[in-house]
Amino acid sequence: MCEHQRKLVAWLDQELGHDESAEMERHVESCAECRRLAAVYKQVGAAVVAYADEMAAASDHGKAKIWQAGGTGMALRAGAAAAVAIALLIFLVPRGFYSHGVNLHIGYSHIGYSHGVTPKTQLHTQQQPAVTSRPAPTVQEPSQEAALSPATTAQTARRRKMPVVAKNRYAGWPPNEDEPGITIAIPGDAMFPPGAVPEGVDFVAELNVAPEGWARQLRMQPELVTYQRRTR
Amino acid sequence: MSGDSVPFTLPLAGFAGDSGEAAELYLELRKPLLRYLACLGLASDEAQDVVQEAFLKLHGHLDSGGTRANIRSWLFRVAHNQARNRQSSYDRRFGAPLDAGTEPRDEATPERAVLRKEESRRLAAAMAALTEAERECLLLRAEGLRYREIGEVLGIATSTVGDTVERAVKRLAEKMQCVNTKGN
Repeated sequence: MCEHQRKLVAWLDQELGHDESAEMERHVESCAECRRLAAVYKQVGAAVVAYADEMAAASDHGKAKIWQAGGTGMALRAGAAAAVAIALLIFLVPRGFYSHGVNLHIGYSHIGYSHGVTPKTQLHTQQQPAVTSRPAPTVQEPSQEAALSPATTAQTARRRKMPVVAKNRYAGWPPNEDEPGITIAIPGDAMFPPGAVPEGVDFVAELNVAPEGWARQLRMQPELVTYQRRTR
Repeated sequence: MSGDSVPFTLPLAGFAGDSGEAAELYLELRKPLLRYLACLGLASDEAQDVVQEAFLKLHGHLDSGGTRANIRSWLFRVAHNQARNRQSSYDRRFGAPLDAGTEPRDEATPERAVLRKEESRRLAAAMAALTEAERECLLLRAEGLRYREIGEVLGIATSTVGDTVERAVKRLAEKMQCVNTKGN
C-alpha cells in the first residue's frame, strides 16, 4: 500500500501544510491508485453532503406529515412554538420592565377569521405599571374595522382595552396573585394549517417571570375563546 | 459592512450594535446549522428552535464582550450541545432518521423515486454504521468546517479529528464501493 494514502483525505480537505500539500499533489499525479482513491473519497464527501440535504428534507417532510396527522404531535409543536415566542418576548422586553410586579398581557387579534380573511398576526401589548394582580377576567372583541384597517392611535387604544385571556380559569392551577405574569393567547390558526384546529381555539400560555428576568413558571393549554360583541 | 440591506429575521431582532455582523452570520450559518441538527435527529421545528436559541446566546456572548474569533465553531458547538441536551432530556417523538417513516420528497417518476429511496436507504445505513464521533465529524466537515473548528465543536483535538475523518471516509468508501460492486 502506498504510504501517501494515509494523507489523502487531509490533502483533499486542504488540511496539510503548503509543502506537504505540494508533495501530495506531485505524488497523486504520478500514482494511479491514489488518483483512484482520491476520486472515491470525493464521492464519499459528496454523498455525505447529499445525506445531510436528504435528512433536512426528511425533517421538513416529517413536519408536514405530523401536521396532516394531527394528534399529540401538534400539541407538542404548539408548546414549542409558544415557548419560543415567550423566550423572544422575554428577551425583547427590557429587564427592568418586570422588576416591580408588572404584568404584561399579550392579546392576539384574529378578527376576520370567520369571514375567510387571513388573520393578521398582530401582537398587542398592554402594560399595567404598579399593578400586582392579574386583570379582571373579561374577554372582549375589538371591532372588525380595528383589525382590518390600518392601525390608528384610537384603534390602538381600543385594542389595548382587550385583555384576551381571563385569569385563573385553569382547573387545578392555583391562583398566584402575588407574582407577576405574562399571558399569551395565540390563535390555533397561527400555528396550524387552516382547518387543523377548530375555529375559536386559542393556545394560552401563562408565564411567571422572576424579578431577575428569568422565566419561573410556564403553563400552556388549548383554550376555547368566546368573544363578547363590542357594544360601541 | 453595513447591515442596512440585510433582511432582519426574528432571532436577530434583539441585536443592537452588531446587527449587521449577526445578521450576516445568521444568513450564512442558519441553513448549515439546520442541516446538521436534522442529521442529529432533530425535527424541523426543534432544529429551528435550537438555531434561534443559539443565535440568542450569540447575542449574549457578543454583548458581554465575548471573543469574535471562531464564531462559526462557537455557534455549531452551542447548537450541538443543545441538540444533545434535548435528546437526553426527553423521549424523542418525531424527526426520526430516514428509516422510521420519514421519506424523501416526491420524485418526478416512480422509478426514480424507487432508485432514490434505495440509494438514500443505503447511504443512511452506511452512515448509521459509523460511530457517533465519525458521523459528527463527517457531517460537520460536509458543512465546510475545518478540522480545527470540528475539534472545537466536539471538544476533541484537531489531530483526533483528522484521524476520525480519515477513518470515517474510508469506512464509507468501502461500503459505497461494496454497494457499487454489488450493483454492477
